[in-house]
Amino acid sequence: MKFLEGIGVTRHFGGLVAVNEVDFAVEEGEIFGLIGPNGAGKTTLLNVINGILPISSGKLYFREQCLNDLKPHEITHLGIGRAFQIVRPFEGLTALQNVMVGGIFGTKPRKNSKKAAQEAEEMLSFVGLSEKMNRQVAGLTIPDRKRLEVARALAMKPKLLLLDEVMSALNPKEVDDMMEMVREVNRQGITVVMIEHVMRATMAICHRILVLHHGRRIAMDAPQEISQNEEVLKSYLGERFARIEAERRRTID
Amino acid sequence: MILQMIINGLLVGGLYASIGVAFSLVYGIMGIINLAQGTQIILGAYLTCAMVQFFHIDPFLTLPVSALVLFGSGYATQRCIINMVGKGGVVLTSLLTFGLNLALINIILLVWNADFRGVNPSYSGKNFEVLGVTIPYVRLAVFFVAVLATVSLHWFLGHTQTGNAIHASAQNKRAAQIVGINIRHSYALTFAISSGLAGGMGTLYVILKPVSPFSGADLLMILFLVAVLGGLGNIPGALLGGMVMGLTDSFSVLCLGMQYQKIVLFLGFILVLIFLPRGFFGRRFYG
Amino acid sequence: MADRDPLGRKAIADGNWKTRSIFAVLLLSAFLAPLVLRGYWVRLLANVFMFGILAQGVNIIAGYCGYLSLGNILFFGLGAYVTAVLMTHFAVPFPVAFAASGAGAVLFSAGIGLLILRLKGQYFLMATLALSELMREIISSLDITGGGRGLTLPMFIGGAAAVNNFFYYLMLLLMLVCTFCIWLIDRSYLGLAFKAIKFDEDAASVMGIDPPPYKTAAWAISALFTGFAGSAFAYWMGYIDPGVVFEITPSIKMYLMMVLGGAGTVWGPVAGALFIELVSELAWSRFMEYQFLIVGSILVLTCLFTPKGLMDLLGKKITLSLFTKGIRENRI
Repeated sequence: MKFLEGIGVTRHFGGLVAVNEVDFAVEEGEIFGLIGPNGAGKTTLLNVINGILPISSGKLYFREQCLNDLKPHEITHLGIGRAFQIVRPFEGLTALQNVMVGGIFGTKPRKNSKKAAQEAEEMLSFVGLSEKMNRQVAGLTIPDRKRLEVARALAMKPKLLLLDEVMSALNPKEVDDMMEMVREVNRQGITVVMIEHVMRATMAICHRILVLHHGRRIAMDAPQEISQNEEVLKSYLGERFARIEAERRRTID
Repeated sequence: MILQMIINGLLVGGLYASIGVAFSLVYGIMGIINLAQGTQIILGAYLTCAMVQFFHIDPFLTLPVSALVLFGSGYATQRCIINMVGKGGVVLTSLLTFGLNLALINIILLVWNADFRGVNPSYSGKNFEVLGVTIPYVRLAVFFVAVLATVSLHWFLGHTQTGNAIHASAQNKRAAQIVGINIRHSYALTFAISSGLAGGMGTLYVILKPVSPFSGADLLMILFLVAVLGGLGNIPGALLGGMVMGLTDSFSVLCLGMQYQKIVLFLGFILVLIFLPRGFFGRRFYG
Repeated sequence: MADRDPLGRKAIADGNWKTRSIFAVLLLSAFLAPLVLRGYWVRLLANVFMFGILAQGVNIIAGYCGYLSLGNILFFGLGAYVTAVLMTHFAVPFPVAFAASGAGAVLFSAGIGLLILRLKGQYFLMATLALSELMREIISSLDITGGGRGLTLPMFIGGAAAVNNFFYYLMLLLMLVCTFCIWLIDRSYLGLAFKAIKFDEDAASVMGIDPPPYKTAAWAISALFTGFAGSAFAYWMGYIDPGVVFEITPSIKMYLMMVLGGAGTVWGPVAGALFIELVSELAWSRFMEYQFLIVGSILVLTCLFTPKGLMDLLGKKITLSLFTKGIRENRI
């Protein structure tokens, strides 16, 4: 079985179907991208994987284990970590303490403070926040907060890391740094599923990409194929652009 | 007999609905639980009593005055006090409104005393009969005014520029600000409208039964229930919720007697919260 | 004993000899007070301690865990009635009744918590309010509880001074034990989990904290001490009725004390209880007509200018900006 697999995953809110019969599979060790226009259901899908939202129908498997009825903390203990899109660090705590909270409760059995503190320090240095370790979160910049989110997710020793738009609101240099960080996380043996709008990054580092539109899967393939998929272009950039792009490619070939 | 119960329930339900709407409005737009709402209603009631006493006019005519006084004071309260900590979360604002509630009760106590007061219009005893059901004129009038107020409010919010501005400031504060809507004013206006409605309903309430400065607490429970039943923040829902409340009210008196009426009320409330995830139309209760 | 919490933070008041000695002096004076003070003051202080317990009870579930149990007074009433009924109808001695009150409160909170703790913030608040009203109504209509007429408990044996002193020390001890528990919680993983849940329950759950057992534990501890306080109160007063023990004013006072003193701190609610109760007593005796206005105004001023409570002001320079911080951050 695949590392992370979804069969017919559906999530609806009353009459609105946010995720519609999505089949997908993530291989162990890959960086898996999740893209689609706004409102396509990407974050919802992630929330369902995480257990924050219950699945409406379909099945989800992580390393052969069915995730369907599990609570978020149980899913975390299975080895799935999550960095949120709207970064919500605990206010009033320092960066180090934030990461520690994740470290303490993130694994079963619970870690003790000393170990958690040590590991938190390691994580923070991994993401490049060592000097700001003891600073209050209120004093951190947006890119720093995003890195803090990642550090906190990593402190839970995940085997699968879910990232939700970690590169939004970053300037090009910061995007490059973040890309390198994601690659490094992956090199350490952690499988990554990332929602991203910054196409440059997604195309460059993902091994495969799943494209959602109106809650449905419209493609799941390597970046190269995705960039030439007409459906994808149409949904993202509109009919006109898709035609222009198709024209362009035909004249090149 | 049953029909009488139903009619009674619906008639008083109209009033309950309005009160619930006032509460729901502030919660829906601003996320603030106005624990002083009960006493605001009572203030409207007392103003009516005073005007009837001094000017010998029909209580219904005092409604605009009650409403206006509450409207003005509501605007000032929101603008100058509650807005100061509006982003502080439900806890803080709830405590704040509770403090205001206590202060308001005391003010009422000081101006009038702790006695119960009521008004008795000359036509209060008169009814008319239809299909074997007795309908007192007063109750019918109260029902119509209450429903009219609620429907007008709903129309106002949906179809006027100011109303739309208020809606916008609820949906997305930042976006509303960018478009040029003054949030502080919008919020103050919303609270003012809610207070004004409450004041007006106070007038209607005191026509039906006497009040004391502490009657606000009972009313608070009722308006919680109505607002929650209809879905917090949902006005048409509150209308329905009010009707249901009114019906429950009259039926429980019939079936169980006065003694158990309150038990049914509170128990029912809790059960609704636990088992009816959306009230009738609103958002989920569970996190 | 752990000096630091799991995140390595020290409390402001902990550790240095200055605060420790002040604390020791206060504690000593509290123990010796009945020997030098008149009955009126002893009773007043006993009342302060009782409110301290109630405020701490609310502190655990609301201050630390973020669940606004506005109807927490229901455990007080429950405890009072369990003790009253046991002592009056079944001739149970006080210590046993006292224990039973605590146990009853815990069981009730655990049971009802299963249904109610999963409600979102504002609904939980309303549900607890409704619950306390419901409790009051049910007790008012039962015979065994004396209905609306109330119950008279067996008299406490001893003269006026003995009564005062016994309950003074009982309340004091109860309050100290309760505060000690909170101190332990504050320093432990339990407390950290509570705070995480309060801050963001979803984020906490994604970080591996399973909220329900923690929330239930918080409410149970809160109920335990609140129930004990109710039990002691019943025996102390010798007579209770539903109106007295389920009154809504103490409900709000508890919150006011907690907020003024500092929600989520170890000693805040106690300080708040002292301040509010003394002011309350003053208001009632000298300014009875204005008592609500005074209490209400204090609440409003607290919310505006010291939303984090007095404890937060400790160790900071007193400047005007300290008091306007709340407004600057929370203003719309």
